Amino acid sequence: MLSVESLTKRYQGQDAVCGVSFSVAPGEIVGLVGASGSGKSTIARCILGLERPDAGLIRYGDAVLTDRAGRRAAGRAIQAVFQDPRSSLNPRWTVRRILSEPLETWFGREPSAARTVRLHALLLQVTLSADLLARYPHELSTGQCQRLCVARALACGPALLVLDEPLSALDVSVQARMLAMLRDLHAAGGPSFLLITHDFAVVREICQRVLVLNAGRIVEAGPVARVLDKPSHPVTRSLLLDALPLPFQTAAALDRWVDCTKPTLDVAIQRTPSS
Amino acid sequence: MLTYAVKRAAAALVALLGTTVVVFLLLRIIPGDPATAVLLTMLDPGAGSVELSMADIEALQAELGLTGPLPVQYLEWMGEILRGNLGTSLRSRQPIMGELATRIPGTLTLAAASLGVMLAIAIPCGVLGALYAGRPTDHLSRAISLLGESLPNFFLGVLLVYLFALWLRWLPSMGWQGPDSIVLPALTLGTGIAATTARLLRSSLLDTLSQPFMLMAEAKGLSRGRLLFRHALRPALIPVMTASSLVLGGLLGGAVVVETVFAWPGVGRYMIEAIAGRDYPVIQGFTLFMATLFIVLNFIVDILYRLIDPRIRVEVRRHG
Repeated sequence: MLSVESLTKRYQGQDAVCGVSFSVAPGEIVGLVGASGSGKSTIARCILGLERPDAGLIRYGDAVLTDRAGRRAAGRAIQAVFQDPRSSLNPRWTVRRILSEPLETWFGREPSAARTVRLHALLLQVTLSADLLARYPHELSTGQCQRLCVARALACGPALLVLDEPLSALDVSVQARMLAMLRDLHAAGGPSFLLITHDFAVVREICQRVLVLNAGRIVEAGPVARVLDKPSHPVTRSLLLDALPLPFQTAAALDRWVDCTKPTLDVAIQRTPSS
Repeated sequence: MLTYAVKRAAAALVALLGTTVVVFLLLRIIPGDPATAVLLTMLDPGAGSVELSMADIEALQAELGLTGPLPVQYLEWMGEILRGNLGTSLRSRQPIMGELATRIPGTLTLAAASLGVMLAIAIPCGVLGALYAGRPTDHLSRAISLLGESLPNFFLGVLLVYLFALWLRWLPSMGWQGPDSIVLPALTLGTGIAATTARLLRSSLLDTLSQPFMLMAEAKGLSRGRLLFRHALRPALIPVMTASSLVLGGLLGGAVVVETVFAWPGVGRYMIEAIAGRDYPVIQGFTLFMATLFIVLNFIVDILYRLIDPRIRVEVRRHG
């Protein structure tokens, strides 16, 4: 469905992304993991048509997404959720208008009562109250804003959702609820997800396949269980070592985390000079 | 919101009161005796060699309300103002309120037409400049803006009269000779203010287009027109609206130069004639009229601004 071939993007002569290739199949949840500055968001911006790649090809079905016109050709099929939910929402629009806009854009106008029913269903889908329709973004919590962003992205029935660090701006308890919501959405036949994160715990919870990015290159890729439990690349092991367990992790997940990071920890301890 | 509106109205009233004090004092603090100066100007505008009788001077002082202690003078003057009486013109011997009222329609018509010209030029120039920032279209729109801003009204006015009235003979050159008489003064006035507004709109639109919610809107795959007209233009127009209200104040106060160049029957020209003839009551009345106009416009813009931007409403709830 989404296919990225040899994608390269340079800023001021420096490679931000270099020859990256991967694909996302229908119904799949793919995690794109890497440290800050590894090129994750640049890939997302290229897919969304916000940046023009210097080389390579991004295809979605028959559409070639190498520029803004290509992105517009893909229409409603690709939608995005960004890291900072507050600044992603037009501050002068109410929740009703924010959610109505994609519906009007892609499906045209409809009677007010029918629209309201549709908006209530959307809010319910992301576990938000229907009472929020008249509110402005600044009258919502950050978690509510992020769920609103997801609802807006889902409004036009996309086939692929690009989630660029959707949990980073949220506190841990809200992260857990948000993650559960995303999992439920996918289980209910929702779109494919390309989840961009630096957090392996999130990847383990929700993704089926993971790509590990370092300095603009994919250094390791495969099913989540294989990559996280038996990492083959030093960068993956280092990232796993840096990861901290989060409160929403189950005891079993925590055990898996300890098991998979133990070899790296042992190496690190052995390398530490004795005092 | 109501609390905010009441507070703003109270502040506007205080400003208005302060303005009346300043306007009242202006006539009293000018060097020399105003009555003598007026009589000299009216009787012998050239040399000022006429012998004035004390009786004439005292009579005019009484007419101008210059006798008695200052607080009493102020209270009497304010009493007349509150009754809607701005005094009588020394030259025409007509009530100033009536004279202003006959000229205001001319000024209103010119202000509305100039505002229309301004919007017709400023919005396309500002939008194109922002959409194609740094490209030839932007440079062209900025060059047009700079030209409009740099050309003095009197020069542009004369240029337009020469071109359209004398050479091409398409339009009347001055005064009111029918609806087409407004075209040249409105073009002259509108072009100058359009330049500033276009530059303001360009920078405001560039600022809005760089906001994260615009990036998000673009990531949604919306068309360029939808991005511009649904998302960007409204917030970008807020500072333009604030600036336009001040421009409108200036236009309603009479565009002195343009009204003079085109012999337009508006309040600006009335003021110029009053200054030349030392018609102090008219100058006083007109200054008060202008100050009131600006205070009222500022009050309306303050209220509108808070109606348009919901975030400010919350700030008002929290602090007000």
